[in-house]
Amino acid sequence: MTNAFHLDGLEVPFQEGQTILQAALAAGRYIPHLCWHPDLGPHGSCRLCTVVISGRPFSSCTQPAMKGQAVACRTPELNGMRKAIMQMLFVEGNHHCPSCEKSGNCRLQATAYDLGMQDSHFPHQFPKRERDMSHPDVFLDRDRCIRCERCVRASRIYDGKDVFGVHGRGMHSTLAVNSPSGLLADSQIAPEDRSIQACPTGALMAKRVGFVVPIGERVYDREPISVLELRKYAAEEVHHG
Amino acid sequence: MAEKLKVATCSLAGCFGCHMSLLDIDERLVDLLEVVAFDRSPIDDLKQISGPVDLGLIEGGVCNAENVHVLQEFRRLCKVLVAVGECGITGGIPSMRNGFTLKECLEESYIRGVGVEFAHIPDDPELPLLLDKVRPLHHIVKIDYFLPGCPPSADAFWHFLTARMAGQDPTLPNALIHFD
Amino acid sequence: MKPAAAPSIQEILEPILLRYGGRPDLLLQILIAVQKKLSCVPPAAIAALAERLAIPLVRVQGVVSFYAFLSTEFQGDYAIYLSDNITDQMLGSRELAAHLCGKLGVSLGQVRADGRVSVRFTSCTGMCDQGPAGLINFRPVTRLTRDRMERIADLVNARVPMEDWPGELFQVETAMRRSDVVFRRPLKPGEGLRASLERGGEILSTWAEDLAPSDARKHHLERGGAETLKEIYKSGLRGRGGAGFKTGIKWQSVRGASDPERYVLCNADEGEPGTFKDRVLLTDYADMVFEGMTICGHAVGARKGILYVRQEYAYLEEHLEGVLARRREAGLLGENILDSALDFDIGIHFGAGAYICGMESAMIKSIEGRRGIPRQRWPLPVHHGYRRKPTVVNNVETFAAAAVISARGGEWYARNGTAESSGTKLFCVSGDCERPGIYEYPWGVTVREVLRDCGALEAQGVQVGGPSGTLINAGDFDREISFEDLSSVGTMMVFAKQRDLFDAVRNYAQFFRHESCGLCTSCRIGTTLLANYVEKFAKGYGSPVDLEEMQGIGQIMKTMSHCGLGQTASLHISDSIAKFPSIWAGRMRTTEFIPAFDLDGALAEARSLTGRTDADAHLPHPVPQEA
Ligand SMILES: Cc1cc2nc3c(=O)[nH]c(=O)nc-3n(C[C@H](O)[C@H](O)[C@H](O)COP(=O)(O)O)c2cc1C
Ligand code: SF4
Ligand code: SF4
Ligand code: FES
Repeated sequence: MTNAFHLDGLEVPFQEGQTILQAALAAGRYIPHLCWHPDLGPHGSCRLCTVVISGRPFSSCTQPAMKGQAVACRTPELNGMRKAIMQMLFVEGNHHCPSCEKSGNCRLQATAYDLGMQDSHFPHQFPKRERDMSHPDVFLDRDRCIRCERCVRASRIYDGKDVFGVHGRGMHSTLAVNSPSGLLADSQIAPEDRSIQACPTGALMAKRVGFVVPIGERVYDREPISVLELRKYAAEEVHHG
Repeated sequence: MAEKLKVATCSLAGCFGCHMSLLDIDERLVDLLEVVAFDRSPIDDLKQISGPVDLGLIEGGVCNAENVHVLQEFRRLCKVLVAVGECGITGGIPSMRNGFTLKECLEESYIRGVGVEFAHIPDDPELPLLLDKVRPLHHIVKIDYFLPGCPPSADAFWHFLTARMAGQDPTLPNALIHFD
Repeated sequence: MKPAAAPSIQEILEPILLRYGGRPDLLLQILIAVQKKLSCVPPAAIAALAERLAIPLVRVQGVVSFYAFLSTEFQGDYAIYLSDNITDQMLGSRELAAHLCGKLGVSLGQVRADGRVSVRFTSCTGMCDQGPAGLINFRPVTRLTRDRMERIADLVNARVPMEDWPGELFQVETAMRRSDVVFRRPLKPGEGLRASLERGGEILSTWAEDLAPSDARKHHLERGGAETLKEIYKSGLRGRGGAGFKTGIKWQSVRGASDPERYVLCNADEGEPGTFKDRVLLTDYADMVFEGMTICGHAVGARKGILYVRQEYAYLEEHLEGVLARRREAGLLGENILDSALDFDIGIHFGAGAYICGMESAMIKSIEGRRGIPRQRWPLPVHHGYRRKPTVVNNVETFAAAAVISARGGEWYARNGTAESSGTKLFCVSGDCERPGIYEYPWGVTVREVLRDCGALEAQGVQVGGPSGTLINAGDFDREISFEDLSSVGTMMVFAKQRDLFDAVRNYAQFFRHESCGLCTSCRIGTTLLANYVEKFAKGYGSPVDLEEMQGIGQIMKTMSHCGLGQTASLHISDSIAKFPSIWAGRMRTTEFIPAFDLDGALAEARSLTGRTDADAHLPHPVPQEA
């Protein structure tokens, strides 16, 4: 007998050790997520993937799938709260999409579209954050950083460099660079690093790659993130066997 | 014939791009004018709202005292008020000055700027005074609907206006939501 | 003679590194030592430590910047922190702070130009029954008055070394105002432990005849541990740290783990404002706490325990180490405890100013020398705790109760309290009452009884369980404190009729904003948004629209946040709206939406830059002004 749980009433099979999010994606069911990355594992920080099991909320990227569970996911309440989470992320930083190199290829933005976010709702905080343009090939615009720590993890796990870390606490926490001056120029980063690819926003990018694809042809102009993710995940599943 | 929907529009700290996009609905504009009558708007060049209107569309955020007055007047006179475009919704590109003090901004433009001849911060009482920060509309008045985009596409305008007039929920389908 | 050159960073670090064996996992302890030595952790020390301990620079900086009591900037020869709990405020702490700053000629939050002194506020220091309180170079000062502030200022100005300050300034009381079955007859050292070991029977009894002596000793140990665990089960004991998890189940999970390396952690972070029972236990009943930990070690098969103590209680270090030393000498700790095969020892770790480090997995990270960010929910500490090994984490009071249960039996213990909440509980009573302090009651006592006993006759409300708990009004005073009804870590902050409860709500909102670890979206941003809304009301700009917004944000925080901090950080808002609607209504002068900022004030900078004063250089006030 296969292991399975119910996601919004429909059966989802899973393998031992899979999280709810992994099993759902493998079964072609999208759950919004930002800080989770298939190769980096869960972080549990963005909270977008929150689902409700027996009346209790859990982040599906960290919660192991269990047989027979009834998981509520795309309910109006949860989708509303996910949208609010997105709005919180937008007002927390300074996201000027029209002038951002990542626009159209940005997971943050695409996820906001997918959740039907039309406004920022909350009061914008307009924080003052440091921008790091010191490196010839890479920049860090903290205005756009959501502290998902995907770069932190990718740098450690794949690049073997530990280029990033987090400083401070609460709303004052900031992404920090591991170098004597705290600047990218002094760090070991290279433009081909996984950490840069891992960033879901326009915060950490290689220089001179923005705006090369015309509007209308960018990744999420062509397809909503929910569709693209599932297709990518299915392809990877096949690839990995 | 049914009464036309009275619409007022204006641009605060915006670039008129949203208005251009509204005009971009092309031939549908003719259909629109069948059912919509424009009150104050850059489209007809009326400078004051003549009285209560059904719908107000505002492009741009709020950067100075005059913007505040206009926005408050729109709120008073428009049954339904819509923030149009990134600047109206988030403050947009003009709000990039929020990372600096007003002093830094004005000195950069009027004192230290390239080619400045009479170094002097303008103080003519005719000029509206700048706010310390550029703010989105919803920081200052209650906004009923938001049309995102830089600018919102003509289709987004069309969807919103036709749904509104048909008395339906004007929420945009995801495919029409864009922040750039 | 030439004046001695100031010691180099290396010279300062060496003895500290030596003391901590150069262990990178003791980074936090090392940083605390540096902070105490230099009144800061300068960037040069951070760089040197990163190199010496072979950890990334960014990580050392990350730890320093996470904890409120660590700073890269010099805090002055005398670093003064004043407790900013609402109970301190009600006793006049804000005015006293201003008075002290005036006497010292220093502005709040800044170091005096000569580097002598700084004064700032900090979250509750756990002296609510003897506030206003504070810390001076991490030594607690209590019952602050204008007179005491003046004396402190004089001592600082005269540069008197801390060792020579009059001891009475640092006196901390541990009054137990009411004791019940447990504390009326506290345990003698060894009483619970002996009972636990005796449950193993005679070491060389008949069943052991065919066993080698060492195996027999092991059997004896295991049997005793199993029997003690049964007593814990029978007692129905539930954790006293807040969540009320069944202690027996937790211990069983660790006992049943396949990994033989296991740990026992005692949570003495006690960060919940208004809570001070663990301080009293560690001061007057440390033996009971250590004994409970040792018994736990026996029951779950662990050999090492760690007591994690908040920095605010670091003044107890010498006392606690003394108790541990005595216990080692008495054979109650160390190897072959009471001549059995039980080996168990306890070490002490300190926090450095972070409420979140009371959350068990954040505490584990803190003990491991990291930023105190909670771990993912799975796997649980009982499976993957300290050093990824099976770990019991219990509150100080839970361990004390476990010791009593071992000595007197689970059934005896369960005779007290209610069906779902067995035994007795320590209450921390503070605020508007005649007799603040610690009270022991069986679970199930009503709020009214406690109020009567502590002499709070004029109460309009009580914050039960601290800011993360429940705010009640007089209509709830007949409710019981128990896991069935009003659950609580024992904290009761009492507010008399004349108090404006808005001040309390505002204090809590600021507390949570300050203490959110920042990991997750809903808590990090939600706490800030809520605190900003409360400030909006404080300025008189609030409207019903904002109240609705706050409730919405609160709901999101409750549902979406990762840990208990974010999940409870909005309760004071929803409770106060439900139970004390007038504190909000009284601050609303319109039902319309009002901007969160002063429109005219937003023109002030432009007015000063242009020198304009004409009518158009102003905007009307958004709120209808009172005539
Ligand atoms: C933000 C936060 C702070 C906490 N602070 C403490 C604390 O100071 N002391 C404590 O014992 N438990 C605290 N807890 C609860 C612990 O996570 C854990 O449940 C407890 O230590 C387990 O011990 P117990 O079962 O004996 O209660 C806190 C939890 C959260 C979410
Ligand atoms: S820089 Fe990008 S990847 Fe790194 S924490 Fe910020 S948003 Fe996440
Ligand atoms: S709820 Fe708050 S304190 Fe807890 S993990 Fe999230 S941000 Fe940190
Ligand atoms: S994807 Fe699960 S919390 Fe971010």
